[in-house]
Amino acid sequence: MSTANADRELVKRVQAGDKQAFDMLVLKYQHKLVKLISRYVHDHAEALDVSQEAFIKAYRAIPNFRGDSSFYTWLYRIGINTAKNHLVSQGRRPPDSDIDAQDAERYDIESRLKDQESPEALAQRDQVQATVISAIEELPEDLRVAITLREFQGMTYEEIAQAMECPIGTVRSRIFRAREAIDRRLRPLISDIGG
Amino acid sequence: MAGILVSVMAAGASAQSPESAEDWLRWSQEARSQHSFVAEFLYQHQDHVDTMRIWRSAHPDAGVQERLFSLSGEPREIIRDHEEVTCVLPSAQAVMVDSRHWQAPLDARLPDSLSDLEPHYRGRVIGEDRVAGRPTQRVAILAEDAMRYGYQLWFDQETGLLMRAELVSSEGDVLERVMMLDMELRDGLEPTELMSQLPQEGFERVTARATPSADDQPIDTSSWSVADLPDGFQLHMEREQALPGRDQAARHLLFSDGIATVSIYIEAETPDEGMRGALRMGAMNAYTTTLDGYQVVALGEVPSSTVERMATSLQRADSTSNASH
Amino acid sequence: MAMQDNKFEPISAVADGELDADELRFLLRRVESDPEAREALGRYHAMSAAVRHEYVPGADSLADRVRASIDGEPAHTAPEASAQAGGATGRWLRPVGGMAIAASVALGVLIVGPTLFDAGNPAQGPVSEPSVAVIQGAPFEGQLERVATSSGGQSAATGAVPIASASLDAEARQRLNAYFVNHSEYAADGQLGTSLKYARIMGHGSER
Repeated sequence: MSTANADRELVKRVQAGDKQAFDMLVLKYQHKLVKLISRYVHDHAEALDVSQEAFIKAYRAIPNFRGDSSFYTWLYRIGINTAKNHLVSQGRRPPDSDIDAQDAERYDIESRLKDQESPEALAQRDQVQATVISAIEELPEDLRVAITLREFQGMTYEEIAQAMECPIGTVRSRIFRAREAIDRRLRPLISDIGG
Repeated sequence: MAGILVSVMAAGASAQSPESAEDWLRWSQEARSQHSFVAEFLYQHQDHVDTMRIWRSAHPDAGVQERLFSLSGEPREIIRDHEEVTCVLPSAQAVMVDSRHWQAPLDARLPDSLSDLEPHYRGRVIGEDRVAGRPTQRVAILAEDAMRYGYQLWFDQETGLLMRAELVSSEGDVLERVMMLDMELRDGLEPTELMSQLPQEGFERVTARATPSADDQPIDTSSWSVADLPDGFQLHMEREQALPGRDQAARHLLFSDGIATVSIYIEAETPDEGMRGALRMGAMNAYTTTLDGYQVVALGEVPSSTVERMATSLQRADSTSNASH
Repeated sequence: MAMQDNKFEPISAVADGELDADELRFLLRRVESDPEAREALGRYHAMSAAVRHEYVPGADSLADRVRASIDGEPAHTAPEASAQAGGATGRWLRPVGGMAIAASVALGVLIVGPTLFDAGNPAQGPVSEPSVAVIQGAPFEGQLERVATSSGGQSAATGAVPIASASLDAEARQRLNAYFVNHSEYAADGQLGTSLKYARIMGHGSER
């Protein structure tokens, strides 16, 4: 299954009453959504609150989700609307138009300069990213190739199996072992941050 | 990080500066998945011109996604990612979603070598030209006979992107033209740029979730053949094809000479007098006939005489009246 | 190192959306009841986020908060028979009539062109004269040749010039559209710019 099909499968289950399926979607998209909402709501704790609100809205609205777009596209729109409404309710003005490519960079820079995220949080993020990347680089070749094709190229297991000329089961196992190795270095960081 | 990618993805390297027509085509093929841009282009056929805007995102994770928006005529929109095509037509209050046919049997790329297309086509670098204010190289794929059309192509010198394309008959008539008027390269696009901006509330939604394996079965032994197949054309695919509005699948034969494609659809005959003979749909020609209680439609981006020839020489493989293939 | 080592392998696979429906069902129940499995899944997603520079410290706790909130929300019930065509086997075959025509219109492929050539009725002739296309304000360099109004000559057998699909009745036109769209998906002009294929589809939709 590709990502969009997998999401669709989870959405169907949520619509049929399986709340755990929604939890899976939250686990998958929580970082992405917070990052998006942070562009509108710079305070970190506030951004988490707004993100939580957006997810709950998505849960409530999901019976109306018809799959015209991907799940994340739909969630994205809910996220932006929730963020804008939040700003308005706080008496702050949302940007005139949704952030376009040029502004996005400016917002990122501005938010770094304003230090809305504490230097500590910034450092933690950089550390996590650096740890994951260096962990990947240190993997044995077959694991490194498999996880790279998956994470950097977005290839499906089937595509990776073809590229690496091995069975799909082997791909699945390699990616898992790669993640386990990365996890050994990542876990202490994440638990420290209190995530 | 770049080191990881380069060592892993040792795909065929493109020539640094393309020399031959083939080099340009290959380079352009790669460029399609490497560059994001926003552009305005015109689409012209007969005495009709449309302008459209395209947002195209080429991203290592998300693949290629596109949004086309009409700037002339009725507002309409097509959004395409690697999963689906969504068409929004406010004037008809309809939205249509279709799965991409990734299992398309024809490799959407050109054949590996232009020499495979000889003697039916010939590639030639014409010379330098400008499109949308950018220097381009003009390359021709010339049809060597009157059974097929040729192409004139203009490739951006900097990126290899296709900036202008024309479908040309063997008499030299331009049948169809796509040409960029303005292009802006981008590092990436925001998701909102790839989302529909047309209001869709209350629209009728038509969704096709056909998975090719379930609906379109490849056929191993064909029960049909085209006796008078033009030189260079080969059968590439045959399958049972589900079509909208039909209760039964049609048999779909797909032929190609490497550039042009012709489809033949075979269905049980229905009383539909309007569809006999030669028909034209823009640059595409179709020909309808009947055979043994079946209705046969051949269509493709080829001259009318070519589809007519193929449709009228279709026969059953077990036919005793003609020598079959 | 024993069996324990592989216990999170399906968790890794579900993070990539690579479980089939049965495996997924099983895994959902497991993640629901096993906090360690759920945490592992969270970390696997965090790894992907980190690779994409999307990692946000503190966002890892969001799922817990959301889950707690949703506990208090009513569970959804399966929707009534929806308009989605047939679910997993989703055929194109929708009820005929308005829906199918709407579908082809939605693609903008319903062609209503101004020209009509019909060798059987010479009196009719072309309704409009072919004209040089004038593109307002388009900055193009060099000559832009007129695009031909007839494509591909005459029938070898009868000498008839092809009839524009505009002259067909709505049902026939819709049938032709279905072939046109299906064929376009397979046409090898993908190399020459999918834009051309969709431009065709969109371009024809604006003819009135």
